[in-house]
Amino acid sequence: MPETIIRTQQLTKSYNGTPAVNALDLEIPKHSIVGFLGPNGAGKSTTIKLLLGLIHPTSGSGTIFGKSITKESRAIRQRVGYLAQQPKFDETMTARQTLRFVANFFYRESSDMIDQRVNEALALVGLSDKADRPIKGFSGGEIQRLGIAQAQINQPDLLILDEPAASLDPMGRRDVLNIMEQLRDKTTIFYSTHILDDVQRVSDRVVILNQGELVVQGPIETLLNSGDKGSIYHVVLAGQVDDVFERIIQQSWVTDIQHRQMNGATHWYVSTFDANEADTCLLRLILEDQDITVLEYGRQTYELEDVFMRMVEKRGKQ
Amino acid sequence: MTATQIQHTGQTQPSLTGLQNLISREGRQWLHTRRWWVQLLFWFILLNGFVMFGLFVMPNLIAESTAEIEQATASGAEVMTAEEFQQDVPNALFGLATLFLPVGVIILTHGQVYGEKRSGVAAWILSKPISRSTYLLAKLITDATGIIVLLVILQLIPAYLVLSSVLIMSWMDYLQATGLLILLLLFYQTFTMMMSVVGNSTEIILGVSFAVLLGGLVLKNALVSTVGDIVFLTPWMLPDAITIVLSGQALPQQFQMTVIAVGVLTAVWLGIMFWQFQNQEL
Repeated sequence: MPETIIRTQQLTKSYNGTPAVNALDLEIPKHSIVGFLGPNGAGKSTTIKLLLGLIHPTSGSGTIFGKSITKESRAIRQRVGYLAQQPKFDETMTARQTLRFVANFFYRESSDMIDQRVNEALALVGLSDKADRPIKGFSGGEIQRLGIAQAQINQPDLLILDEPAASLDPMGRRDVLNIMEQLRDKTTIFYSTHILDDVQRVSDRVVILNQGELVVQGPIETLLNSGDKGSIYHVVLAGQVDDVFERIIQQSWVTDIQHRQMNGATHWYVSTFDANEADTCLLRLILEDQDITVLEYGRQTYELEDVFMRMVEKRGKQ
Repeated sequence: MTATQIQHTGQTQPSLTGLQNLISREGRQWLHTRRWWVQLLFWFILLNGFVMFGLFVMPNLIAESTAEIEQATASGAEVMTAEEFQQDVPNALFGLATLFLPVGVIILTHGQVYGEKRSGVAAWILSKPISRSTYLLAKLITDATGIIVLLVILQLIPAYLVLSSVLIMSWMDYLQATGLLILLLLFYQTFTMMMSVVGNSTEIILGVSFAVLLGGLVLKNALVSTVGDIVFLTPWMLPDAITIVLSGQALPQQFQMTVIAVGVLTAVWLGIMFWQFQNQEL
């Protein structure tokens, strides 16, 4: 069982009696990359600020590295790197000065060592050639990259990124995701985003929040394989399929078979509530018929977007 | 690439960890921008320009107007001579300083916390392992240093050198008056910064700060006749205390209370500022 880095219990933040975050129970294991999803106004940024001690909870509690987010916030922040949704820095400073300023909060080493660390951070985000230019002239993407550099300058045990790829063009997004991939083995990353493709690409786990409430959290694979309809198997067959259709539809673990003809082949979408039974028996049952050729066979995977939309809409209707 | 392994400052840190780093940052905003020389030059022209004008230009203008002065004297009007005018320049200098320097202080400090809260810079800095008190303290120390050095010391030392070359002046009285002027400016610095913490718009922060400064000066005499000695517990009587000190007289008890009250009020603003900021949402 991996160590839990972030844990909240019934964490609630209300404004004028309206909860922005409501009874949130989070569990984030060590060395995971966690995509924190939710529509606008779901409470993602509020949760992040609660974790960092920038705002105070109305009720409930939380710990990071086993330390209270309300009572030991400074000790927590010693081991955390944070990138705000719209990072703002002192515009009169250069990128190097900004990183040096941040590094000085964490290290008491010699100037040379800190400079070396700053150079590594600049190289990581590809800003070495702009290190000595004032931030005032930086593009949105460069500011974002500087934000990531300053967030990981202290080699944090936990990196919290609020919309790290927002407002970036596709190249900038790719760069940010690559940086996150590079940091995967060194730290736990908890990041909020709207971009579901990015989550599916780099995350191990997902937390979905809607209207301040936790919808679901867990490993991304589990989430993608856990449709409400059970599992669906896509089978493409050639030959006479009527007999085998009758045989399979009678199985107790099969709930439905949708079928259609396409390009001379038969496409089946076999729904089941018992994926284990289907994994063991379905293909075997089909192949019992010697006249049938199986052209394709596999469990249908959901895209994260499907899962996200389904879960958020379902919660919205409740 | 192998990451440089360097030692963290540790997890059990004193509450003022990061203060030096924050003071360096605040200092950069004074010294690495136009702010320091703009302030130095502006106040030098205003205050020392006034001293030069009062000591060297105005007496000549008065001397050139001898005929008009004699005519006015003959008609019984009181007319200030060139010497009398020169004698009054130190008083007028401090009068000017007590009116205009607080305006400068309010303008310099009004956005210090509010501006950074609004832009997100405060949240960024406070996501690092520093306390909120350290963040405020760095601003207070740096701004107070900038104000005392650039707006007071570097203005009043040259003014004293010029004044003492023409007039017989007690450096001790001048020093005491300077001390009271610094107290007045620190009062307005802490008040405006407190407003910058609790206020939620630039208009409110500036409006309230200027209302306290100018409203008090305008209403001072009316308040003396209505509320009596209570007005001596306000900063509005400090310019009068400065005049008394500068004339070489001992401060009457009422004005001693003014000095103590301004000190206490400054401490109160500090207390409110730190307490409020601890509980604020960033």
